[in-house]
Amino acid sequence: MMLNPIIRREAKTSLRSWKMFLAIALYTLIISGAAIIFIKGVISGGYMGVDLRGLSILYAVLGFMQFAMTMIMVPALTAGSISGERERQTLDILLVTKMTTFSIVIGKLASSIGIFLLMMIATLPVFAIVFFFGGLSLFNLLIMEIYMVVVSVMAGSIAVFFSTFFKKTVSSIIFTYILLGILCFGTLIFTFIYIAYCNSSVDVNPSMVAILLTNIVNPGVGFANIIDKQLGTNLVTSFFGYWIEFTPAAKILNNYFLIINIVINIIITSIFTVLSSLKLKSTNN
Amino acid sequence: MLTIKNLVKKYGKFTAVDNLNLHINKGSIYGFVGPNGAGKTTTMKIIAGLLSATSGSVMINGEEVVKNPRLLREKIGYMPDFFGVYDNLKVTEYMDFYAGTYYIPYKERKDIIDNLLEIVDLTDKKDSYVDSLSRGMKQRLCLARSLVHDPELLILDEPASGLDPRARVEMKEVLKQLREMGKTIIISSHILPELAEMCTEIGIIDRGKLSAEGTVNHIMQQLTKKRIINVKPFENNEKLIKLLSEKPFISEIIENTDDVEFAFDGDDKKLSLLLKNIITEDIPIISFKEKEGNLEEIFMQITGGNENDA
Ligand SMILES: Nc1ncnc2c1ncn2[C@@H]1O[C@H](COP(=O)(O)OP(=O)(O)OP(=O)(O)O)[C@@H](O)[C@H]1O
Ligand SMILES: [Mg+2]
Repeated sequence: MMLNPIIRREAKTSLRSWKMFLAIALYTLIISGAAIIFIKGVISGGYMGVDLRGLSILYAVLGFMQFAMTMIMVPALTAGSISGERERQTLDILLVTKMTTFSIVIGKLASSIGIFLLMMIATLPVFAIVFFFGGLSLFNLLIMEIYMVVVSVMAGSIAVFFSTFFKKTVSSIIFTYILLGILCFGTLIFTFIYIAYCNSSVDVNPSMVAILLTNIVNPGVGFANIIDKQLGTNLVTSFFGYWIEFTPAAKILNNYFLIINIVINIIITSIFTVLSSLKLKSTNN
Repeated sequence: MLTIKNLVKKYGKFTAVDNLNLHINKGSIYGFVGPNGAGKTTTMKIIAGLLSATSGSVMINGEEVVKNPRLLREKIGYMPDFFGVYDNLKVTEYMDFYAGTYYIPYKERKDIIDNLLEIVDLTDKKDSYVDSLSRGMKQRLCLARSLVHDPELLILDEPASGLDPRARVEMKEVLKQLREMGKTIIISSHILPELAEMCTEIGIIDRGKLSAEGTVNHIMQQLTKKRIINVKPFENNEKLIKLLSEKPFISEIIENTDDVEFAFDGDDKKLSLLLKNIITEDIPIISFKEKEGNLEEIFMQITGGNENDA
């Protein structure tokens, strides 16, 4: 078994590139900076000792920051993967080799996710401190980081797809953000329109099941669901309206929300990966 | 080795390759010549499997390219007309990457790469970054890259374009070496003389059609139906001119100060009879010779002329 040659090459070149170094440094700085400011606040605020509940909030905040930066950085890192080869005029050479378009796409996706993993590892010490004092289990962190990887791979697959589609990297970045925006915010807007509609009519009550189903693809709600489970909060239900009846069916759906969400993310990833390799294979461009 | 049958490529309504037929034997160096926009790159991309044809077929060793793309990729080495290199990558790493894309085992790569860099004369640039190489070096590196999986057929799209005369000579040297290695090569250019000396066959493509094909000599004969003959008479021309102007197969007689040039329509036998006729008529001449056709002129003649109606 040979390592995908694209991963090997990208690993070599990106570790030599100062831009990549800068991106990782910046990311680490933002996460650890936020942690330091927060911890300082907690320490000076407490009269005697440190309020440990504050650290679990910090966990949520840092987790959210990591999540948001995944959604912003992964498209930026990945959207140039194919269009960049096209702009650099190396794509044709790659396409005549024995690599299948599928392994080219996988190689590209894995390379940019690799950079993101590097960023995650770089900030691991910060998360470790929060864990050490915050009383959370390592298992919790694992679930959180696995979810981050799933979401980043999904975002990356969309970015690769647009990258095979557009000649310019800029266009693929923009379209990736638009599609991710629809997944994260479009579903929310749709949900609130639905709730508003229910409120305006006398005999229809909003159903939590319908709301959860609408947001089943939403990575942001998936993230909030993890926080709810790990910290015992009610971010999701209170966000949509705590007054909406939390029926037994909604409770069951809420319990399996994360699993379904992850499965859907993986399906989206697979679809876009296959579409990308088909697009690359079609020789009529 | 390579057979192209009735190849057509349309971009919308525009026909870039128009019912092209050609056959290239194993071991030949086929020069694919044509002016800008003739359809050389389009044809080569179709052979390499990068573009799909509108109709017609491309066969390598009797197998259709579109039906078995993976196997045929092993047999084809392709060098595009325009190409780029990666940043932050050294020459050996660049080669290693492409060896990887052909799944050549790690332990075999070093020998292959060393050998290829030797052929293209880049051994002393081994550890340089590829983006720091000169244009000529990049072109040779890209050629080495296209050889990494030891293909039988090489498709080189204007490998000498943009090179200075010295770099062109170096590129030619490399190609000669490849010919000696027994590779079948298709090489395109828009300059015929550049290819003439190193190709076994030449095909001239113009507006998507093959307008002439064969060895260089064959093409010249095919194209220059009228041969230009130059005769130097001793002393005066008058008698000679009179004789020549009586012949129906002679035209365009030009009188220079000390020689006469005319267009002759006929084979070698007819030409020898003409010479005999001049001598029996007692016209003293000191030289009688056929003017060598100029490749460049011929090329302009076939492809030029109607540039404006495109
Ligand atoms: N993607 C495309 N869409 C539309 N027309 C195209 C496309 N690619 C090439 N053409 C047209 O097809 C014709 C043949 O182009 P091609 O690049 O094959 O010519 P060429 O012989 O390689 O020329 P050159 O010497 O300039 O490289 C040209 O008229 C060109 O404008
Ligand atoms: Mg061309």
